[in-house]
Amino acid sequence: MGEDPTPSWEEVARHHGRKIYNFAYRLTGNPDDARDLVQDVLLRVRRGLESYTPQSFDGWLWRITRNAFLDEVRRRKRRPSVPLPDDDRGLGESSPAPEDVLASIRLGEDVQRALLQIPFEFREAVVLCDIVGLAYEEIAEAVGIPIGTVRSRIHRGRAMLRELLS
Amino acid sequence: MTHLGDLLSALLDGELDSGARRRTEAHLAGCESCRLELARVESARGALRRLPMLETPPGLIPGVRRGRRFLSPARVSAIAAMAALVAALVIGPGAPGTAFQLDDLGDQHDARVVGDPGIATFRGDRP
Ligand SMILES: [Zn+2]
Repeated sequence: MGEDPTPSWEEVARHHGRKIYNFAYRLTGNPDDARDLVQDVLLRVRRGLESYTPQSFDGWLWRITRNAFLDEVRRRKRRPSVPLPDDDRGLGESSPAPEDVLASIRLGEDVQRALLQIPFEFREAVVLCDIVGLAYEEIAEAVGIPIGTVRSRIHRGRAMLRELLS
Repeated sequence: MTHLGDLLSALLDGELDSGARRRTEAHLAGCESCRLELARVESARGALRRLPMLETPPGLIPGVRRGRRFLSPARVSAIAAMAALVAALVIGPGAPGTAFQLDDLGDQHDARVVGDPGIATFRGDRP
């Protein structure tokens, strides 16, 4: 990939908005949280693009996205009436009727529930890798951790998920 | 002999250079326990990758109209995989975690790259 012109805000929104939405949705299990996050991230990208200098665009974008997400989580922690992404919302409250089981497998609800049960740093690593599709190097840049840590979080995250899904 | 641990996920993700990949595969060929662990993380990885890519709510992304849909090759294969999973559940489970073929791993990685032009672009010269 040659010289990368700085993309416009609309291009970022169109090309990455859906992935940002899915990132937030898979981390929180909540469409409203995901929607708020996309709006917040796009706002930050709009401001940030003015000072953006061509580098790893995805590392930059996902660092912004992640920081916006963590800010949102912190904000909500100060307003206890709003559910937290890490709480037990929707987990194990009732067991589904047998006829719902197949449908829930089809929609990935079992996987989503399992995701919400693993600690944040592992959930984040597997979502960035397997949902967003980033390379380890980009995850390292986005999260601000060494690449070896990325590898071990992804591996442990998958092992935890497998345990929960079996 | 040290077991492979998180090198297994790196192998699945195409994150090993050719030397490390060869050593990893050589170990796998002679280590039942690592083959089992590989099958386990591979199944979790597959479950995540088969999750549907959700549409953004209408009006959230500027210039994106409601209801625009297309099926990328990755979605098509995901749907096929899902159909196979549902069929397997209906028909009954086979022997779990027994199949291991490096060719399968390669195919999955390719499917991911082909399925998303954005990823293919920034993954650049990776194999
Ligand atoms: Zn081993």
